[in-house]
Amino acid sequence: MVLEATMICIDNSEWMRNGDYGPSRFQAQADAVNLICGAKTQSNPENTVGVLTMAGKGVRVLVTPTSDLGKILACMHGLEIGGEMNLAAGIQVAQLALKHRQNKKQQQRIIVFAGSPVKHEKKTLEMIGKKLKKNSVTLDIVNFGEDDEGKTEKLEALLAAVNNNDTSHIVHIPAGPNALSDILLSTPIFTGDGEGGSGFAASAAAAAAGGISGFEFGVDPNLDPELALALRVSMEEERARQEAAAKKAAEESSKQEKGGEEQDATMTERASEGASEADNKKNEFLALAMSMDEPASSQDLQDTEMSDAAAEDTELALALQLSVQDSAKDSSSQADMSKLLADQSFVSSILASLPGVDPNNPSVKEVLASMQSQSEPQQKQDEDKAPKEEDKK
Amino acid sequence: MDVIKTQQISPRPIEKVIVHPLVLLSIVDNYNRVAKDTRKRVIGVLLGTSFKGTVDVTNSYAVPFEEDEKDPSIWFLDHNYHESMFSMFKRINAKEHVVGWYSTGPKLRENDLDIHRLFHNYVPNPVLVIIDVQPKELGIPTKAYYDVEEVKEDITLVVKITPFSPANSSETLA
Repeated sequence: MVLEATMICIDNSEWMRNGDYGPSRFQAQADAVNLICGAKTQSNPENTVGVLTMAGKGVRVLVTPTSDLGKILACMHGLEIGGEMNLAAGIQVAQLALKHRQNKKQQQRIIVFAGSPVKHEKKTLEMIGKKLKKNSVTLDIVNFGEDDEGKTEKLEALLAAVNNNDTSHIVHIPAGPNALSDILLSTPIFTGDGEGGSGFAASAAAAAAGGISGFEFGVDPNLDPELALALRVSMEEERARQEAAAKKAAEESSKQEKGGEEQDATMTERASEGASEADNKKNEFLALAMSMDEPASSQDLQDTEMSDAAAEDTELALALQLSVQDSAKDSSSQADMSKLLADQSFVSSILASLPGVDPNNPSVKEVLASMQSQSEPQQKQDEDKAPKEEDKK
Repeated sequence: MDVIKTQQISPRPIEKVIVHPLVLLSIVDNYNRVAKDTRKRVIGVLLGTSFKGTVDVTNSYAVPFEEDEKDPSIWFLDHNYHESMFSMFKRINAKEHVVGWYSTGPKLRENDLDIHRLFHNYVPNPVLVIIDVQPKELGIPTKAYYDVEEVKEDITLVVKITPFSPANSSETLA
């Protein structure tokens, strides 16, 4: 909740017409500016924000530091793109504007959007940086857009000259599918202002970045229970769909190949089923299963296509394994499971290979026995089912 | 912005600028409090009325202004302050419009043209008055200027500030 007066320097040069960020670089920048203004004014009601443009006929101050968000947003309309950005002049005018802030207790901060090439010398920038440091002005640089030789270096040099106790930051944003403003949310520019950076920034970060806040699906069940529920339900449906697809693939693979591969594919599922007993052994099982897949794949011609299917199937198998762990009611895997479970020696050999599980452990033996008894009545049903499906295909 | 701009539909060329004593007093007073013995200058807005080519400057106020001493192209004028201040002045005297701006000079400086351009947003033909706050000799301590656009031979547009001829600027004492 730092009391701050901020000047945002916008780049409205010709380079901002480019569309590699968002709808256009300029639009992405405008969104980011709106976000920053909102965050600053929310984090402390006495914060003021001002905006100036650096390109065009010259540096022009659009709005002097004010806490009126409406004024700031209004002045962003009707901005024209053109000319070249004058970074040095922009920063200096911003500094002058901050000098005239009404509340002298406010911390001075300048946020610069550097999207076009920087034509100033490194020395000039360093001198400006030193002057800023002398006047205890902190600087945040958003480096995006054009990346010509030396631009990053110059900006880093500028930052080094200004930086005092790590209060100034630089952010490099490459072009990509994510919006400029979304990426900015997770940077120190937002999170750096005070503990937690205010509820606005935190909730916006949670919504945009999805999962940073740690909630499942990135939506707080307290804030929006219906949305969280809907997301969960759709996730379950997706899993069910994936498991059905995996089932089909597993069946197809079992239909086509000869013995060994089926064993491998189903052993993957088998092994993962066994892992449900010891969740933390899950990864080792998977590794084991995959290592079993590999030697098998070297066997015969059909194996090569099978191994591809199996390799893809490991993804499906993983999804399958997850769904199986959740529901534990997958009938087809149980059908295969029952076949293999019958082979108790095989299962115990697998369990023996696990570092932590002792096959002679009475509880493990108990579980195995129960699984086996469970599988026997199922086996008859499933054997009827399996030949039927093979007849169809 | 519209309220401020509707004062003159067709700008008539200005021939005479009359500066009233209240303006001189407030400018000198402001200068003495803020920038005396420094090389800084004070800039402010002139309010008044213009009628048939004569501008009557009746009121004024200073505005926050900063410029970099080494680099004249770096300057900052708080135009939000000016807009708020003017809207308040308008409430007490609706006839007073923005007619131009003043500087304590003592001479013209390089960025005066840029600042003059800024005032074109508020009045079609602004007037710049340089007030000499430390006059060495007797006489009128003011000098008025306006800007002129010229097309040079190589088809470039040049804007320059030219003074009113001394006979045309006068000062009245109440």
